[in-house]
Amino acid sequence: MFERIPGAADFLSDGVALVNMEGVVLYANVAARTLLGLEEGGQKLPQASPVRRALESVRRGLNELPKEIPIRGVQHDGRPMYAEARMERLSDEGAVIVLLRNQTQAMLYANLLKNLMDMLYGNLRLPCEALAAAVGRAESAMAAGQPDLDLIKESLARAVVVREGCEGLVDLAHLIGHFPIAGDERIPAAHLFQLLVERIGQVARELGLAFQAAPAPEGLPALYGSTKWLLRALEEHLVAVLGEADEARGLTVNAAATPEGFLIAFRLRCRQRPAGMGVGSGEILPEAQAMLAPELAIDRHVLELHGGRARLHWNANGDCLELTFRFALKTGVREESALGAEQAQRYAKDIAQLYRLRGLGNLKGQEP
Amino acid sequence: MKKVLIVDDRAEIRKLVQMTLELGEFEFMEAADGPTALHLIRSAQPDVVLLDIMMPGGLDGLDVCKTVKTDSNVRSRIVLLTARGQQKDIEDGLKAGADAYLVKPFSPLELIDTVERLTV
Amino acid sequence: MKLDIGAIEALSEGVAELDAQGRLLFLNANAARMLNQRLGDTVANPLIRRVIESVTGGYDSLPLAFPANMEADEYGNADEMAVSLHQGDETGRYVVLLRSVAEEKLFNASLENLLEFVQAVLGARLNALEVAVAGTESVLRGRFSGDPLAAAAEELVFRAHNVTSALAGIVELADLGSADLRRDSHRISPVELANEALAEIAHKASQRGLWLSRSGFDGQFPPLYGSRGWLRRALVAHLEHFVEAADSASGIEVKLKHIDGYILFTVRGLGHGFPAAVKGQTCIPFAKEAQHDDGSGERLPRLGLALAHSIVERHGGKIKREASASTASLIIELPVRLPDTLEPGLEQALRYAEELKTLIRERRANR
Repeated sequence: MFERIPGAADFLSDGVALVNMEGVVLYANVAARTLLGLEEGGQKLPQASPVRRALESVRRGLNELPKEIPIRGVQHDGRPMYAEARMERLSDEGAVIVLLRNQTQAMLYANLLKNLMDMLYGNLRLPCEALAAAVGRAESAMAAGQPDLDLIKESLARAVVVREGCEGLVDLAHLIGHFPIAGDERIPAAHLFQLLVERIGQVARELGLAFQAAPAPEGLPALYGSTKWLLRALEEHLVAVLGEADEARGLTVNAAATPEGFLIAFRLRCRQRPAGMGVGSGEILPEAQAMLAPELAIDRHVLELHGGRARLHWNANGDCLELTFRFALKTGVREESALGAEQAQRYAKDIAQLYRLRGLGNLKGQEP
Repeated sequence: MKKVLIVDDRAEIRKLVQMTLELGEFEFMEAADGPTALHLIRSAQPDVVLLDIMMPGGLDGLDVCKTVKTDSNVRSRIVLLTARGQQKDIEDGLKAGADAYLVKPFSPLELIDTVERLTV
Repeated sequence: MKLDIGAIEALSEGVAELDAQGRLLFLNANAARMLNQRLGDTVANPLIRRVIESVTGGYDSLPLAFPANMEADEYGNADEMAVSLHQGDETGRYVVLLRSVAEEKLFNASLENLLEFVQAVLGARLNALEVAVAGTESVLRGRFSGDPLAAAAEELVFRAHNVTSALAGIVELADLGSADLRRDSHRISPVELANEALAEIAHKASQRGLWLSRSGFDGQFPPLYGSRGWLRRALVAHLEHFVEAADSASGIEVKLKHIDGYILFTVRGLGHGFPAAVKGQTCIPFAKEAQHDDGSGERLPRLGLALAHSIVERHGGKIKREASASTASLIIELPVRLPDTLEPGLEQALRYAEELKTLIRERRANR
């Protein structure tokens, strides 16, 4: 290792911290203290801190470093903070370096973009289509020389709905810009599946739901894109409906390879069949999903950017309603032209390894 | 001196690989497409060929690998160095006769170890 | 706090180490990209150099933080940085941290643009729709005599169309916004692109009695890189505008030229040219509502042009407009990307390759 930025660390927008396996913070720059939610003068990570939980699981042998975890919802000055934490073992004494890339700005953009998409797809698309259809019919009638009062009234009513929806649009502050949703990482499907199972499992436990996940089969391919966005898109589809699940019969999940990539299926048994819903089965279309939870529009968009699709099927019989989410994700070949920065990072990683070996006195070429 | 042929349609990758391998006693040759690579393999008989898969020119890296490995007059060892990193791709590469398969972005230490191992 | 090279490379910030003469002793990939310089260069940014001189001269003490504008890259994009200068680990050594504020500014600029657009275009259309709705409601309640129902209804229909088309355009803009065009790296022949765009508007043009002409299409052109689909839409959007605005018995010429690393698509009205009322609004991405002298009503611009403008900018290009007494021209400039330019990441990897080799040699010598 070598020293490059003494004293400058507090000026970094990223957080840099040194933590031991018990969660005691040996060093943290200002950004790290904010992103980790460390109290003023506090030296230990809060119990609920994702970094502390990750260290616990490493200590218990359930996980190993290096590891990357998302940090969400830490509050600072009333604002939620978001970060990507990268944890790497620093030395044999057990100190861990934690690099926190501040994602708050990116998440802010995402939320704003999401609001716009919700508004457009969720709230306005159907009314606009209905207005266009009504207007079309009224126009035809007028062109035939027979203006139809009922058609005009219908157009009017629909125009009022659109107008009210648009007023919200004009009032909202939205971002349309260069937001990179799809990233460029190589994501082993098994790893994505495991992360999703962990996150949904946690939510299910908090809700007291029975949860069963089949192990991922062998030989699942790799995806290319952004782990964090894919995870979010998948997770939010499920979280939208988890509240309806029956506690005892709960939730099951499995994954399978397909010719194009792989498929994750989540099956959820609801507490009861909604009144007025007949026996049968079918697909809940995207427009209807948007009414279920408007934010699903952006999550579907993220999946589509990754070449994937989310379908939601329902099956009602007896007193039971079952919902099944099928996420079909496609694999792809990495664009070679996009590998430059990652290639530099691989070099940096190998150099770091050599410095560590040098630092540990293993100059005779013995591997640790 | 051992001969290393670097085959990739991107000049900067060829440069990077050569710079990384300059540790050893190697003589370097380059090719930017399959047909040129095949010609150089047959004429210059390199000890190791670092071969990209996705190249223009009609012959991709897998074609070159299969052709070389079924030619009893050629003794070159082939390392496939490619962005194609699916399990199936690796299996296809090894079935084509490759002696090693490295996925881009590659670890330079792994590249050095692999080439040195194959030129011992 | 000691950080290893892997960690420094992983930081969002650009990190560079300089000596008192401003020579770059170290820089991570982000710093190399932001400064557009290499190891061993003397830092080119005049502000950073001045600050270092001021510190070595004893006029300022560290740490210091200041904003700095970086030089524009070959596509004319200039980044703005938040820079901080710190004492290095030895006397006469300095560490510079660089953070791009471009994204933040883009966010604010995009926000302003969007709000301006929404208020100017959608707001105006909504007001008009509201008036039409109120008018129709009054008629239905029998507050007007005669038979203004047809007129009111027609007005309502027209206004409703305007609103739905504006909203459809906003959906398109959202789609464009979420696409990262820089990831598209298709090789595009400018001649093919122009021909495809002309083919798309040919029918509309002939219906209006316009002729289309081409110039310069037989030249040799280097390829463009980017998104073929989006670029074609940008061209088509402008051509459509010309077709609709032009007088009949006139024509539209598309000219292709390659100058100084740019491909120029020039779209020009021929013949009688454009009516004066429309000329001023031709090719403006989006304008505020404008009343005509004869009070004939509002002429609001097409949303499509905002989209087209955005696409061209996302490809590093510019749109220029020229207008004369009788005609208007639009010039879309798109930069030719040089395919054999070493991308910053690989250049950084080359630098690291040297360092790696030094370490390995050292290791082997000590065995």
